[in-house]
This record gives sequence, structure tokens and C-alpha cells, in this order.
Amino acid sequence: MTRPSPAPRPSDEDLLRRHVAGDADAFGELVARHQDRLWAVALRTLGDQHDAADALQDAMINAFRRAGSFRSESAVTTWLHRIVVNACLDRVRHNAARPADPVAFDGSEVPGVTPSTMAVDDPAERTSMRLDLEQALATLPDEQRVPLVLVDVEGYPVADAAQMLDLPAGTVKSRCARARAKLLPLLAPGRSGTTGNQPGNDDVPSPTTHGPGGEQR
Amino acid sequence: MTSAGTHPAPVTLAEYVEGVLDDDSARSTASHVDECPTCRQVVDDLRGVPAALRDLPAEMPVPEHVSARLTAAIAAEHARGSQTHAGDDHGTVAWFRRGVPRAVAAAASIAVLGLAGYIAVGGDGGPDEATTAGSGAESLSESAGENAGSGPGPRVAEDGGSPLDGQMQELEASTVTELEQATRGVWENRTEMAPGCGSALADQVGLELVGSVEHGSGVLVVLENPDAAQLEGRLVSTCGSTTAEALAAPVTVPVP
Repeated sequence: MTRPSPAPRPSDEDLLRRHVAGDADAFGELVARHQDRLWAVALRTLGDQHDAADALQDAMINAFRRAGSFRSESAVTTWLHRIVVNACLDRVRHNAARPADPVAFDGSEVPGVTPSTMAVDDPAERTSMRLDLEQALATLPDEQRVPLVLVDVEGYPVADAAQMLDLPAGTVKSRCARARAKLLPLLAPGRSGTTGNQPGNDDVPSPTTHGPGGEQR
Repeated sequence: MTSAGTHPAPVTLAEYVEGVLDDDSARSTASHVDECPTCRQVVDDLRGVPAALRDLPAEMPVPEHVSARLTAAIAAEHARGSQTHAGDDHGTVAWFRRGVPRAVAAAASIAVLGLAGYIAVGGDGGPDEATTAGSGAESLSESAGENAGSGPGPRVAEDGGSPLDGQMQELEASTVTELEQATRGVWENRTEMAPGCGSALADQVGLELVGSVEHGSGVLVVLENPDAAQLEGRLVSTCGSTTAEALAAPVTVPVP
């Protein structure tokens, strides 16, 4: 296998090494390279731009300082990713320590995710479904969103997520399950499944109206 | 609907799928699902949720103001690192958080809007994102003089006390020297972070605007006091800041 890219591009590890050696630009380049990915992690985990920006900054400063302790048994991206996740978890704890906002934590009155009816093969509609999903994620309570993002979006094994969250694996699973139930109407539009006991999505106006008809799949 | 009685709630079905129901509930749910096509469909859909989440794009264009903030934070960390290494791990970050332009906070209040922006405009991060956010959302480098005076938006430190207290304490003597040097640098090179950057401040204090430069988390605005033959360096949050958003005590140096 030959590498197709002719342009000599320093590897992530090279950049990190250069940074540790005192290269003033290397770390910035590393961040520029991965910030979109890391931003997605922070924003989805926290569901709020302000918090995500704070967490990302904390994480990058942390990575900046700890670069010397990076050991290459993991990829630099994995390492950065993990630092961002940890910064996000710190934020969540920090926020939880503040006087609570009126959102109750059993999630019962979390705004329901209103199904949008759409044909999924239309790229525009796919985009719209993604947007709905992102918004829906952001409305989940922290205690459900964070495990769900770690496990379903970021693909961490439940055991790892449990360790990061300092929760029993069973709790992580059960919170993920609750969160998925809330997202369900988005993915199965027009199919209310069990009649009358969908989680409170009857009192919220639909954020997107795509016109009538069109069950998914 | 079916002989199996009322449908389990979606949450119960989700817990069933995830295998976290206790044995009794799992058994009764299983026997219901066996007989109920509706719930079988819900179960199938639930199994599709992780896949749909996994399919979300791995990247989202980082908003410009966030990217600018990261760049500034890293630059400050470099500056800091060249003086002291390691040391206290919280000073800079804490200082930064308070010092970072409040515009970021304003921009942040549009979390979901921002998501809409990213999807609507696709890859390039959306040049309108900042404008969508409305006034106060300008990025650090773009705010220029537009939000002169008391701009809208949450520009006050969250922690209640005077926004200055903590920052002042954390500004060490070396920082003052840095500010003085940077002030002279602006005088010599006539740098401007953006056209008119700092004019609001100049108007407010009644001095002539010399120039401006990005400094740490904020903007160093340099003013000239011709009567005293002095330059004043004032570190503020953004180009449009007045003294209300000072990040440090002003420094004065003689006009070189």
C-alpha cells in the first residue's frame, strides 16, 4: 500500500513532538487540523455553544500543557478526543453544581421530539433529519445526552463510558435507552407505535413541517 | 389493541432492547412484543437509533469566534510558557475565561441556531453565522467599532463581583511590562487589529487613537495623550469595548 498523498504533511505526532520541542506553530496547526472534529464532540456532548467553546478551550490548553506526557500507544486524535470529552464532563459537573434550571432531571417534561414526516432518500430531507436529530440531542437532559453521545455518537463501549462518567454500566445503558426512546419519533415519523403513551410530544409544535405523508422506510 | 393488553411505553421498549429490564418486566414485554406487530416495529425502530446517531457527521465547522478564541488562548499559553513553565494550571484558563470577549457569550446563546447554520450552509462554516446571531456576536477580530458603547448582550462577568477584581490580581508585574512593550510596539508599527478598532474607547476617554493589537485574550488599544506626551495602553475585551470592559489596569509609557 502506498500513500496517495504526494504533499509532505507532518503527522499529528510530528506536530506534537515539535510543539514539545518548542515549535511555536505546531500546536496551533494540530488544533486547526482537528478542531472541527473536536468541536462536534464538545457541542454534541454539551448541547450548548457557550459551554462547548469553554470546554474546547479548556481541553486545548490542557492538551497544550500535557503534550509532553503523550505516549504514542494511542493516536493523537484519540488522545485529543479524550481530553475534550473530559473537559466536557467537567463542564457538566460544573453546570450541575450551579443552581439548577427548571428542567427536571427525570426528563419527563423534556420537549418531545416531534416527528417530521419525510422521505429519507432526498438528500435535503436527510440533512433536515440530521438537524432534527442534533436539536433533539441538545434538548435531552445532560444525564441522558452525555451517555448517549459517548456511546451512540462517539462509539465508546458502554464500559468505557461508564468509567468516564463514574456510573455503573447498567445506569449508562438505562439512560441511553431512555434517551433513545425520546429520539425515536424522529426516526419513525408518522408511526406513533404505541398509542397514547409516547413521551410527551403532544404539546410541542412541530419544529419542522414537511407536509403530509411519507412514512420513513 | 391486542390480546397482550396495553402497549408498553416506548421507554420500556427501549429498556427492553437494551436489556436493562428486570426479569419479570422483560418477560412480559417480550411476550407482548411477540404478539404485537406495532411494538415489534417500535423495537426495530429503536434498534435503528444508534445507527442514525452514528451516521451524524463527525465534524462540524467550528464557528469563527470559537476558532479565534482557541488561537488566542494558544498564543497566550505560548507567551505564558516562555516565562514560566508548568506552574499553576488554572491561572491562565481562569483569567482567560473571564477575559474572553463577552461577544462569545452572546453568540453562544444561539446554540441551536448555530446548528441550523452549519447544516444549511454546509462545509464552510457559514459566513452568516455570526450575523445570524445578531448584534454582539461578532468575532473577536471582526467586532471593530461596531458595538461601541454599551452593546447588547451579556457582557458582565457571571460571578457577580466586579469583573475586574480577579483579573487585576492575576496580572503580574511581568504582564504590565508586556503591556508596556506592546504599547510601544503599536506606536512604532501603527498596527491596527481592525480599522477603527478601539475608537469607542478613544472617544470615551477623550484621547487620540494610535492603534491596536491582539493581546492575550483581548485587545490592547493604544491611545496618545499629547499634553502629557504619554501613551496609554488599555487592554479591553474587544475592539468595540469601552473602559467598562477593561481586562487590566491601563499602562502608561512616555511617547518614544
